[in-house]
Amino acid sequence: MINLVKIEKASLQDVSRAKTLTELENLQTKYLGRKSELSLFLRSLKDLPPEERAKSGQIANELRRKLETEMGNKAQQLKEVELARKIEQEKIDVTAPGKRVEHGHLHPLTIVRREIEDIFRSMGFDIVEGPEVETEWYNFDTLNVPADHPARDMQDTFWLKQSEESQKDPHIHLLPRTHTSAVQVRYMGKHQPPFRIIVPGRVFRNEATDATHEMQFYTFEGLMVGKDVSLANLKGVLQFFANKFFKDETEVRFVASYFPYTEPSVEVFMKGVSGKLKGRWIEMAGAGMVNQKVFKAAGYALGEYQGFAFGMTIDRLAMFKYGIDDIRLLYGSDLRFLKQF
Amino acid sequence: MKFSYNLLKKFVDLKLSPEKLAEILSAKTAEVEQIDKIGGDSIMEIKILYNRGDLLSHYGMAREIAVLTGEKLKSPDLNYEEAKEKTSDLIKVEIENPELCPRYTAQVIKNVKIGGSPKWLKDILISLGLKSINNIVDVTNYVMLEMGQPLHAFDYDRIAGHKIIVRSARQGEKIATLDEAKTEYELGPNILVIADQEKPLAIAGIKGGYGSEITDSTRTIVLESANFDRTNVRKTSTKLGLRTDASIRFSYGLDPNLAGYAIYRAAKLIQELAGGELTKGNTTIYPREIKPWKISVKKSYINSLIGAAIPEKEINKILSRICQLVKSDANKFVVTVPTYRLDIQTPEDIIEEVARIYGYENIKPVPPTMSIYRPAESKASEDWDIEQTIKARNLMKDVLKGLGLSECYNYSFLSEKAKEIFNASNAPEIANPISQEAKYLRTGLIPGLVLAMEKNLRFSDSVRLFETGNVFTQKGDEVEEKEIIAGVIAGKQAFVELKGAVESFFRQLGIDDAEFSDITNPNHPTKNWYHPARVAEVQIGEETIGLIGDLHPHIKNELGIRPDLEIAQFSLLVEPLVKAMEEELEFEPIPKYPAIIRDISLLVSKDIKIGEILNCIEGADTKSIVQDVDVFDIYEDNPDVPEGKKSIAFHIIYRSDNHTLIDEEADRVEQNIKKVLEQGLGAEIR
Repeated sequence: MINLVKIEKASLQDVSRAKTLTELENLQTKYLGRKSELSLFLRSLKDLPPEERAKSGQIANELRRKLETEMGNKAQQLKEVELARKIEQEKIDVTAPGKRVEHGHLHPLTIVRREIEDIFRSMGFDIVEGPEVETEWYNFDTLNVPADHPARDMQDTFWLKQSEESQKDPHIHLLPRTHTSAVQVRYMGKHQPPFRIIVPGRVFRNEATDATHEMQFYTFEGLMVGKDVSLANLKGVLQFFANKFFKDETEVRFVASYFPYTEPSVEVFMKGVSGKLKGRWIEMAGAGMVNQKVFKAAGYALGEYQGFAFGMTIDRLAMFKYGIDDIRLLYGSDLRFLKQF
Repeated sequence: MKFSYNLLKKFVDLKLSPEKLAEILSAKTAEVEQIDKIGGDSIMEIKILYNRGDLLSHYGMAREIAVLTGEKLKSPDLNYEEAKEKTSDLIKVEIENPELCPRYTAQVIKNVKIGGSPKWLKDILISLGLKSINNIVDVTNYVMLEMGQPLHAFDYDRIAGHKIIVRSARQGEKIATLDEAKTEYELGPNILVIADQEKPLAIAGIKGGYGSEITDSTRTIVLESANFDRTNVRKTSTKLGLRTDASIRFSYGLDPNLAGYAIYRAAKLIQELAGGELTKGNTTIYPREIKPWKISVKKSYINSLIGAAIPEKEINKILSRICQLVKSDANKFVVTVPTYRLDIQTPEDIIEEVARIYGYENIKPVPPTMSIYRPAESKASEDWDIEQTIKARNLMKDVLKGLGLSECYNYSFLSEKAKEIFNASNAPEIANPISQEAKYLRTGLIPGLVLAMEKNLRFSDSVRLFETGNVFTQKGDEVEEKEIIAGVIAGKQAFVELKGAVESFFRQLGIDDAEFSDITNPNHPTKNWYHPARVAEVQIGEETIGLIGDLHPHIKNELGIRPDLEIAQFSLLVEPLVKAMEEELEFEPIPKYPAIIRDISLLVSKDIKIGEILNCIEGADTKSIVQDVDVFDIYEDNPDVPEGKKSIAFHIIYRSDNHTLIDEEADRVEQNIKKVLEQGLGAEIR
């Protein structure tokens, strides 16, 4: 008969000393495997006399269960140790920089234009666009800018080279538009009030460039026309815009001004809310009530409608927002600038 | 324009400090840009609005202040003594161009004593930026500052025939003007002059000439007080490059009646300071006298347009300060507008007066009431197109940004040099360019992007830029305008990388039928910007919407970009992209049966294009179970690949819509594919 006590002692000692799961698996084969002493003994039980079979069987089976439990526990313990070691091995420096994923950038004027459009859309304004090369008719004549107005002069407006004949006809005479107001009568010619629109777009001035002047820049025109649209409404809409754009309660002030296409005409100032502009009155827009002569050019009956119009420079808003001090940076395509947005 | 606070005070009871006055004027009338303390005076620089020629004088500004404050206005002293001799016997006036000179008034003063001016006069002229010349000239200048009417004094004895003729200058006539340099100007038929019977004496409304000016020996003077057409004065002034205190005032437009009062005022002052006898009456030609006009404005319109409830009493008070209130009934005000307020012509002009004087600060912001939406646009309308374009443009920008390109905004102009390098022969030309840098309009975005690329390469090797914008083409006397989206990248394998980006761009926009092929249109307008052997046409459906390719080596060379640096670029029309994006996506069911994926690797002659291989596979008998063919490897110029050949490997994905494929089915189709590749393209299957 085998010495179960000796096996028990030896096996339990071996199990407790096992350092790895592999070692433990080997012990499992050694002590519980098909060819282990214990298994062989259990298989030989059938040859023993019944009373001895029951007794020895009980002892041997108890030993087997004990060993299985011990080994199970040990396995659990070793797994935990191994996991802990693996975790320790896999430790990385999380403060090291991540792998760089390249992405591009949107131009600040795009970002600001979207912001403006969102604010006006939230007030129910439609966004409208028009051509950048415009006729003298839409750029000046329809807006009640007299033929002799200095704005039409060569020093303010670029004109395109055309035949003498074409130059004489304002419907054909072309220029890179000087303002998005040029879209006013284009739109009104095809739509009946009430409506409210903004018209963002690129405009051109025949001007020497410096930190605050460019020969091209972006403006957006606002136009709201109905039966009873008023100057107070203009103030309300611009006040809402200013609060949203500057993300704070600000003030809007009108002062007297003159534009041929609005009467009354005002210059709009907004009070800066942060940074260098805090507390300063900033000139933001030219605005006013649409001149009846403009409605007439659009084919509306005189006195039928009232409306306001305003024009704001998007570049200026972008410069305020980001503290950009030179407008030329916006058109310089320098990635060291563009990558900041 | 400069204003003296002290001089203003002569004409209006002014209780406000200069600073307070400046604040009120800036809000209601015209911006006070600066206040300088000079001596005991405050000199204010005020930017007069283009429609307010009535404010170009101290008396005019005082009149405005009286309106704003309700204080009393004091008129200048116009009383002088007349001699018996009639002016009309001494000087004759003739106007040849009455449309350019609505009024001319001349006055003769005999036996004047030319000398220096008193201190008060010198002081005020100097503090307002003028020079003191002699007592006569100083008076004319002073009256201009005081009343806004430019005046001129001639030496009577040097006017040939004692006749003044207002006429167009003749070709070849010249005049030397009254400045230290005696600048000589060439005149011509578009320039109006004041002449005697022999020669031009002055450029009308702008500047006097040598030969008839007041000198120490002048005894008798002729004073001119006239009105000239604003447009003509402005044009002449621009043409000659000669801006004077007179030309600025006439350019704004002045009331012809002012010429009458001002000459009295000047006569009065000359008599005071230089003695002399004033002849009786004056010689005036003023055929169409301007008289005050009536405007009627509905009461309800005033508060409706302003959007406030200004009490009628307040409106009454304001109107009566500006105009003469003729009549007021339940519905309307009728007013008579004084002739100096040339800017007030319509009911809205009246309403502007009410609003600004009442105070814009008293008009509270009011949210508009309007229907929250307009009728939805029909799909065929321009509005629909604009809305879709804006949405699509935003998405396109976001996608390109995600693909690692940065947005830039270049100029809409081309320089002479860029036009040459990029051979943009159909670029519209600016008639009056401000510099050589902006002589033409751009015909594409590629020139600007490539130039921007070149600038950035000085600081960085990995430059990836994109832009959306309008480009222009000269078509006869007209200009065609189109919106483009374009990009450019530099680096190893730039073309392959950019093509991958553009393919991803299409997929992200939901466009799945874009194709790339060799150029089929040999006249593609911007073809010469691309490397002739590395350029593809991009097509959606039947339409070519742009090109993708490497920058032409010739342009690279011209711009001094290193020849070994690959630069790839694409340019696409926005309109067809937007149309293609509008196509509604239709859901496809998730496949029910599994796919079998097989790889084919083959060797073909180097000049066979991938496109041909794909077409060839498509042409095989595929039993409709080939779902996709995916190129995953291309080798050439590699030791493993025989000379003149390239190795290509594909995944081919087989799947049926109605059963689970068995290997034999895939085998059969694979054999068919291999056969057509071998027979059709001489491919060697590896």
